[in-house]
Amino acid sequence: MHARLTVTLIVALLAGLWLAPGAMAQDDAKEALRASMKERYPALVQLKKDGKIGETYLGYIELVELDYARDEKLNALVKAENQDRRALYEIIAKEHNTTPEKVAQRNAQRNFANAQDYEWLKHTDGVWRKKGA
Amino acid sequence: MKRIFVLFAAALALAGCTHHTIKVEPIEIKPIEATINVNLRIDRELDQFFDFEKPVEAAPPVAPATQDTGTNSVPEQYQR
Repeated sequence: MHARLTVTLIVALLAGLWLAPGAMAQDDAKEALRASMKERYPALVQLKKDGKIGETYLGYIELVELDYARDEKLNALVKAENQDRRALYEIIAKEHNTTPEKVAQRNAQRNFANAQDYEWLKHTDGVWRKKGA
Repeated sequence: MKRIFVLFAAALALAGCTHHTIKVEPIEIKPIEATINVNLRIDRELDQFFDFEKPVEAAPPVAPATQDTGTNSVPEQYQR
């Protein structure tokens, strides 16, 4: 009985040692993504207020009008945000044994629900509509 | 006429002999429950991750100047 308990504890300890570095690495990656997205957030809010970018039903941001694509700084910001989001969706999907697309879809629903009335949202039919319209 | 009636009666009698089976597919509840649980967990995780997105809450109201704060509110120069 005592021997069985010891073996169980050793197995649990080894499993913990084996799994812990992976989990810690994921936490670190998530924290880095959070810091990066938090820093970018005020600029995104301003661009949403200006009507230049909006949330899409796929869980990413896009330029509301193609004309804005000439602005390289704006393009770079959108690209960086979407890269971070993709990385985040992959981490969360791994944690919950699901797909990044599923996580992205949940985030899209969350973003649509939390959007302000002035924000442009791209719906499943591909049309941009203002939240408050 | 009589022949038609006999044929009709025979057709009715044969129709009663047919066997109809309706298969009801079992309703699976477990996968739906699992999906809801996963969705809830993902939503919670996303809310925690993006908690910096929440609008800044209004500052708590400042106590009115006339409210007795327990200290002497008379300016020092007017105090005897």
